[in-house]
Amino acid sequence: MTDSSSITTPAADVFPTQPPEKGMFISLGPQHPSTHGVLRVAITVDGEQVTSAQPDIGYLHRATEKLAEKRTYPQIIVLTDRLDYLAAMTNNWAYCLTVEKMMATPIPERAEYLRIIVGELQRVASHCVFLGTYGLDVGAFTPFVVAFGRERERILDLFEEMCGARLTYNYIRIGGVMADAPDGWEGHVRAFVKEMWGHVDEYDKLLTYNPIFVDRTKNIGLITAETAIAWGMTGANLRATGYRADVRRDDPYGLYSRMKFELPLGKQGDCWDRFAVRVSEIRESLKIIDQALDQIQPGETMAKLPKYFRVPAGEGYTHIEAPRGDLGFYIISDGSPSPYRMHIRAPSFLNLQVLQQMLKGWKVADVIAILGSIDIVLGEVDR
Amino acid sequence: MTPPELLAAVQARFSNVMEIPKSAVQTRGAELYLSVPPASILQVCQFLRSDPPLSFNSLSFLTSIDWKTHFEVVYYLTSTLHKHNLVLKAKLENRMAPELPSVTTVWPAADWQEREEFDLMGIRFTGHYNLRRLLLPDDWEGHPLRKDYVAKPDRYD
Repeated sequence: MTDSSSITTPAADVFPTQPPEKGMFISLGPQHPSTHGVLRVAITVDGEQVTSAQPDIGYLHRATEKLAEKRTYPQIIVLTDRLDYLAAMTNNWAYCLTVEKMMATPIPERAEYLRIIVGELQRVASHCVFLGTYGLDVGAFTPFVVAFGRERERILDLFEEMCGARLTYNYIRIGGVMADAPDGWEGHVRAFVKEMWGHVDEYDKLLTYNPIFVDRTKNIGLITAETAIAWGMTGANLRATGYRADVRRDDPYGLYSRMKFELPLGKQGDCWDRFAVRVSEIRESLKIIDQALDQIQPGETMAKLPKYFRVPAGEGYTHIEAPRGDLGFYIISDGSPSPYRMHIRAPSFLNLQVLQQMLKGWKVADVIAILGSIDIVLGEVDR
Repeated sequence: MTPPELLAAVQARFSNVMEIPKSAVQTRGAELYLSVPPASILQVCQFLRSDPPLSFNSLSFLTSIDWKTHFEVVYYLTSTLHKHNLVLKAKLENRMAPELPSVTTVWPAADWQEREEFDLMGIRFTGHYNLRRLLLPDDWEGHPLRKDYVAKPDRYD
């Protein structure tokens, strides 16, 4: 139970390739059900205590940044779908916002509202996956069946109705959205939101205040706001430390300045706080969807753009609040049809690197609880 | 702080830090862009982080660009306290051996980001405690994000 609180330079414990002189070496992954993809964590333990942990990534590296240099701007949207594959809508959104900012394209109001609705639905769906799989990590099976198998499926059905795809949407386009919502879609979303309020209370009963779950997660994997910021942590993980930070609030994009919502905050930044913050965030997302449905008006969904366009030379950076944190795209354009260089500021990548400090000093049994609670997607870590 | 105030605060301490002016034909964000000599990047970053009115406590991202004649390392800094942003750019003229000091002692967030740039762009960050390849296998040859990188066909091509 040492502190992960003080800000220190990462200690000089290089990647262990030899068994340590004292204690034992454990290789967690790359194929392990609780690593949520292909991640390896090389852990050395002394008895039950973790003495060092080094995440080993790159198993899912697909060179998205290099691929982007060879494709035209609209063709890159499909590449962004494959970064954080549990939240493809927000990836599309962040990329399109950056290109639109560089071209100074005005977006029709209806498209902005549709973006908010699908973006928040995506946040709910993504958090549902987290609730389900985190339950599995600590030994509860029901939340997985309920949150992942029931509610998330409903959201994917709504997306399928909207754009035909269930996972990689390519729905948000440069200048607006691919197509208007089909007839009756808004009613379906309203019905789902109404129903979802009850389901969130159900998650609270199943997990949040379940004594076994609380024992596994409360006071485990503590991190302070100061450490979290220094290591680049963002999103729900940072808010769980009690720090008020949200791109939707600090640097509003789209029409978020018109929306009223709270920022759920944790108290001490332990695993339970990270979980509870995400459950509360589902409620706030539902509020935002309701407001957007109230305010949305019929109209155009796509800006008038030429079929073949060029982005003016220069550079641009835009970030949004994705379900996993602060997602940004930094694009350098030389005026040609494809970007000269594109860099993706992936929230999971930065959230994961703090693991080497967070795991130190905790028991082996807590490793999975801590790793699961920071909610990573390896598609985004490796890009 | 507004960009002119930021510029004044930095230049009062470091006279060799220059603003990169926005050219009329190029698109760019509203942030202040500063050009920093690579040798003094560590001192500038330490100052930016520790000076109370500036307190850039977060390195939002770090990346690099291959301009064919030289490399450029980009630091995007954010202060979560004062909500201001700053972009630092360091130009590395020596294309054969691009090298500059690591900022992991200022922001631990630079740890993996510097390793990624070392891996994919081949820039050495001196003083990094564990500068090894991050995403690619250890025995990989070359740095794929460089513009002159030629992919070797493997058995899948």
